[in-house]
Amino acid sequence: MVAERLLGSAFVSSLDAAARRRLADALKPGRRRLEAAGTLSAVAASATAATFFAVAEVAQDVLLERASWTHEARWLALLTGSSIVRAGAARASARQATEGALAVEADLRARLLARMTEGAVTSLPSAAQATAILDEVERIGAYAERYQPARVAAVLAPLVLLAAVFPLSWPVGVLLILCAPLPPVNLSIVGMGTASVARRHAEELRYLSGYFLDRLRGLATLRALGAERTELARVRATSERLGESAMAVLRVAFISAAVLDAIVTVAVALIAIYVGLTLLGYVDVPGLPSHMSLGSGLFVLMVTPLYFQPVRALAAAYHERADALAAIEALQPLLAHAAPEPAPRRPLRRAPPIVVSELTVSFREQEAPALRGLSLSIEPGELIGVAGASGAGKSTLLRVLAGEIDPTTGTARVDGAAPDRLDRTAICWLGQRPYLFPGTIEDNIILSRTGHSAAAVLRAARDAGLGELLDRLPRGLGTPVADGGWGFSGGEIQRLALARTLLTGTRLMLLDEPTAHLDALTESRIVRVICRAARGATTVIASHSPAVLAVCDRVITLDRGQLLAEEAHVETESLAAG
Amino acid sequence: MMDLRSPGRRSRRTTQGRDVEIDRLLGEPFIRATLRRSAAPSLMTVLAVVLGVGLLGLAGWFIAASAVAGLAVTSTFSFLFPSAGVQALAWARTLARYGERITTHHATLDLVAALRTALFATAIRLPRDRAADLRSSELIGRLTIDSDAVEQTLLRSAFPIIAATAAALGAIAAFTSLSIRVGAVATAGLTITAATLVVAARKQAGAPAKTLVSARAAARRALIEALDGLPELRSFGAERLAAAEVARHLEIYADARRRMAKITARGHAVGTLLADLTLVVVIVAAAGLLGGGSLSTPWFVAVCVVTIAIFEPLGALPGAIVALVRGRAAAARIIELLPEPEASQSRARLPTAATLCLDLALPGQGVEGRLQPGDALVLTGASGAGKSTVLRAIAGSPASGFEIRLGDIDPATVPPKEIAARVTLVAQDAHVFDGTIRDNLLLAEPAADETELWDALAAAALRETVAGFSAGLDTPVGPGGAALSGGQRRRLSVAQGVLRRPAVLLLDEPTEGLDTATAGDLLASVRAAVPEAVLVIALHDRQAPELPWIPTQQIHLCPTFG
Repeated sequence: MVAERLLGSAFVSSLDAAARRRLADALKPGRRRLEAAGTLSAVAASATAATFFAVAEVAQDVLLERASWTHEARWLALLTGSSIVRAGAARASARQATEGALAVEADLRARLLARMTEGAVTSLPSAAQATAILDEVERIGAYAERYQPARVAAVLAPLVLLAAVFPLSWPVGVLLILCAPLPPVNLSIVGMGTASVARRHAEELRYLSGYFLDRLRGLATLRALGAERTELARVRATSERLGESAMAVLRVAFISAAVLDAIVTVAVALIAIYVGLTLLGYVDVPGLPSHMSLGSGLFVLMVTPLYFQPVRALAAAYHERADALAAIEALQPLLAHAAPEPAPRRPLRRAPPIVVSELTVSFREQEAPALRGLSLSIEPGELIGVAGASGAGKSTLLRVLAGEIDPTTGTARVDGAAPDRLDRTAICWLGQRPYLFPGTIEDNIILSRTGHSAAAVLRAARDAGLGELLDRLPRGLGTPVADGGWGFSGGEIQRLALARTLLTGTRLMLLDEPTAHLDALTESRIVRVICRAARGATTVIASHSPAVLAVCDRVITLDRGQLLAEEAHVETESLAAG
Repeated sequence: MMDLRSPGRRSRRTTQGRDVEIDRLLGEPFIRATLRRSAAPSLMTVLAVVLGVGLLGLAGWFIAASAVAGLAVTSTFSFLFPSAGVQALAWARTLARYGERITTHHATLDLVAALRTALFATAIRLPRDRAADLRSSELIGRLTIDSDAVEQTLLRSAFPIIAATAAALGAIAAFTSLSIRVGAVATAGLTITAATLVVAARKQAGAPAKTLVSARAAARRALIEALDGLPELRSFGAERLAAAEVARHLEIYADARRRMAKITARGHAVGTLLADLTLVVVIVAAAGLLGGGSLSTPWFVAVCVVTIAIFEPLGALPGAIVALVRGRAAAARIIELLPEPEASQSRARLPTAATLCLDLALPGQGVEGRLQPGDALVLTGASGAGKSTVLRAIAGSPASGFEIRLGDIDPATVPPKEIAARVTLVAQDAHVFDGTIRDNLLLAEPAADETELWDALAAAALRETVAGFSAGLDTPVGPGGAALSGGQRRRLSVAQGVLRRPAVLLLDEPTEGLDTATAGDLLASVRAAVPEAVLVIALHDRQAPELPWIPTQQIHLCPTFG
């Protein structure tokens, strides 16, 4: 699905101007540095020409047998001086190009990260989003670093070199000018062919890397099912297919490079023969100069490859351009997603009433809507249990109330407002798979909130049932938590997440299976904690557990996205208090 | 770090040719293995660079000889031969360049594919506990740098180094044949240039290369985890914390790249200066400026032009060395994954399914018992009590604190293949693969027919749900089974386990996420679907009373255990 989506977006266009415009926009943050890199690279080319001029002059003196240390010292000085300029300019150019590319990448990544954290709803799984943020952005960076400076240099450097060639031999200058349009024309003709092959390859690449990652994630399952051999064969076949598809792109791209090479090489050969004939005195065509010095001849010969150098760099980077166009297209759905309006979000000052009417939610992947026409009304301060078979829509209802998912049709109102208009921190969410940071237990309870005393944190942890664990750990709350909570059991992670929610008073609690993975004893303790926290808050708990549902004021049961039954528990007050 | 050979790896070789190939590939030092694969591309690289430099040298010689002949009163200079040579070289060089590009890229891609397959094969063979240690995001972070490693090592460093070496050696040989003095000067100049570039780049690039490779993997891992935890993070206003964590890794990565680029650029600049210095001394020697006589004008020009021309391959050295260091850092990271040799490679065989008994002794719990085919054991206990540990131990993971015998053999000593043939563990976190429901079921039993697939779904109480999808068995489940609910995913995994028809079926909390009625259906139909199998089910305490059949044995694990 991801693959299809990415592919779909990469497939639609890229030939069209829209993609090119987007790519140009993406390069803006680094534009000045990249142009500076191109200019510096043209300066380096000019310095190289000066080096060649010095060598050619020495050769002229050797020919005339007047070469001596005193005579050649100035040319050797010019050679050394131009070499220093060239080295400095080339180094500065490379650094500007790198900085420019890094600026482009940093800007794109910051935008993508902001979109994702601000809550752009995307159905892409995390691995695919990570690929976008890291790899696709890097492709655009590679294009910026190599292609952009070459584009500037391809205009500037030939102009400088022509200015040097014309006074020495105008026919060679004319020949170079005549050759100038050939590479770009060739490039764009072959480039058109490359673009479609490259796009097809990019699609294949994205699909197959998704496939590969999926198989890696399921290694243990593959092994348990004894399916490793079959899958290994499939991975081998797909990897080889990927290599072949890459080769197909390269073959086309290399033909373009070879044609370009042929143009440059034939130009060098032609100029060599023309210069040779002139030096021999065989050129006897009216209008053409019949004489030339060896120095001039050697200089124009050596400058010819230099003249074509930027265009060759462009050609070498051409597939990077195709890659970058495909990448910007793939990123478009992520970048273009409307940023949530910065409108002030409403805080909750009291336990809110909740009114859900005719709520329907459909996911594109699924056949049936997760919720259909659900209507529900919850009083302020009520503790509501949501029961129902797996897949009945319990989690979906909670996510809508949290503002994570927009209703497809119908409305949900929390305190009279759409949930996504509420201050998110006013809602307390406890999911099935809590997220843990690298940091201490205390860091993980406080998160980014401020103004909590150590005593309050400890109380929250003990209230959540972490007391025994903390007593066992020599460093208590200061115990480090590895990435992803490694080293803690599922129940411990669940209690840690509960401690987070207990640290600040809350007006709306949405708990998704808060006691999954817990034993009966721990569960009953956690149920008591939840009941205490639920005082003064509106609480919705999705659960299968009879112990949890027993303490609810009311339990609604969902069946395939619809309200099935509702029953009140009046006798639960005592239990909740105990 | 590059030596991967170990007795354990060798003994695991299979008779399949391709597997030996994979072992050989990973079992050799990385650079040597890649170079062996690239004899043809190396030849093409040498050919292309020699023809390229030769073309410029010949063209320079030709026009200088023309100039000499033009000045002479009488000349025997033949114009045709050198000019034809220039044209022939021009075309040969163009073809050689094309051949070089095709063959070098082909070798690289070929190696990437082989390495990727090899890595997958290696990951499959990781000892069970190591595989569990490496969380998936970590594993992915490491394995996705494979192509980077090959590309950097081969395409961006090995071939450019070959080209530079060939160009320098060719030039030195040619110069020496013309004049010992010029040859000696050029040798000294080129050696100093190349050595400086290589030593400097190598020394400086090591640390940033390691940082670069590890920061990239860390950034990917941090990203995946932050994205997974987003809904919860938002409710605590902590999404910026996660984003900052990701940004921190990205910053380290960018910084390492900046340092690498600086090293390359500085190396290139130093190379330019040294190469031009070499040009100066070559000119001084060849023109006899400090005495000793000059080369003839055509040869003088040829020497100058060649000295200039070989700078292009030589100037690629710093970048090539930096790439090599980076590639090796990536390779080292991948290689850390490789399995450690296992102490013993037993060839223990399990008895046939019909006679396979399971003995279980948990001394700490005062439990001992034997299960015959068709028996069922239910493990209950608090979370963290060790239910999953017992199940994994039956499936062959090494464990302590209890004794398990499968047909009188310790399962930890049985080859994994033999275990997989008899025992199927449906783990709590079983993965559902991107593809259709049918694809997932066929993974368990490729030969299953339509009826068997539906029967397996029925055994897992999932038949009606799937029948309700308009695409039925061909309904796509999305990556990681994202299009299914948690309970549906669990049941699909159970259906896979049933399809395997194992002698021992181990289900770890199969009813988690299911309502009471569906949970009861599932437990009843699974038992009925595999009547001959030893069934071991781990359940929550609270679900245990709802068992629709009476287990042969029920063990309550105390929380202190495990």
